[in-house]
Amino acid sequence: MSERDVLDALRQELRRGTLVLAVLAAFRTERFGAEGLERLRSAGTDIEPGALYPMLRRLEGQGLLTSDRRQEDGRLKRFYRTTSQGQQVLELLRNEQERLARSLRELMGN
Amino acid sequence: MNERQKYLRRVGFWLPSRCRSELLSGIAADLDEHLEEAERQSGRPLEREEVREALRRFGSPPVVATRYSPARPLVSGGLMTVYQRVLSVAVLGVLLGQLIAGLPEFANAGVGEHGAHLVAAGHRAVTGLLLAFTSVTLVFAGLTRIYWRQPSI
Repeated sequence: MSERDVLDALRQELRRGTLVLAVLAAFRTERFGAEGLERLRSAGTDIEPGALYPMLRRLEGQGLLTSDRRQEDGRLKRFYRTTSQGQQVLELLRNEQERLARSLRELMGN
Repeated sequence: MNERQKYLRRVGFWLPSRCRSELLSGIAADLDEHLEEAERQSGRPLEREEVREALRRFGSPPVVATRYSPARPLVSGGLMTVYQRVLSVAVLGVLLGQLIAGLPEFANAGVGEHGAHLVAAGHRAVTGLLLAFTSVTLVFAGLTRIYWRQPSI
């Protein structure tokens, strides 16, 4: 495994944990999948549509998102929104992420 | 059959049969939304190549199927080191057992019988290895199911 492969794998691992956080944050406002994808991308979180859509369904299954399928602009879309349980989880995860960031800063001597 | 249908058929191939149709209808709805968004951005109906590109961006069929699938891993990542160690011990045990059991037979074999003994030993070794692999994997699959809910696994 080359140095680049190792770096890519580690970057992926690091991103995986924060993606749920980003998705829960992005869907605090009700959005449909493609709209959420754009919001995430505009905020610098790049995610494949084939990864976002199943994540939305999984988070809905866990009760962290709720969805409603309805017509908009003549097209049937599924709109997602972070539930109150999702918001609580988001807050807890954000605190945890900040704690980890502080710990990392201290370990790196900044 | 259009590109969308071909893509969905490829995804369906990788989905578990017990919930294939349910998962496929969800994937089809998400895929349609993705394709409609691509169409909205281009401002016109997508050409065949553009549909292919949009499908490529959605992800390769086996990866998409895995992402949507509720299937758990057969052996948990947390148990993998132990599983590999137990499996290598079992494989080594089978090979050593065959060697110990087969050596006297081989040594006492008459002229021209060595080949037949080697074939029989090879047959027994392969059967033993398959049994070892299957039984160890089944035990660890069971452990994975039992301890799945524990965060350390």
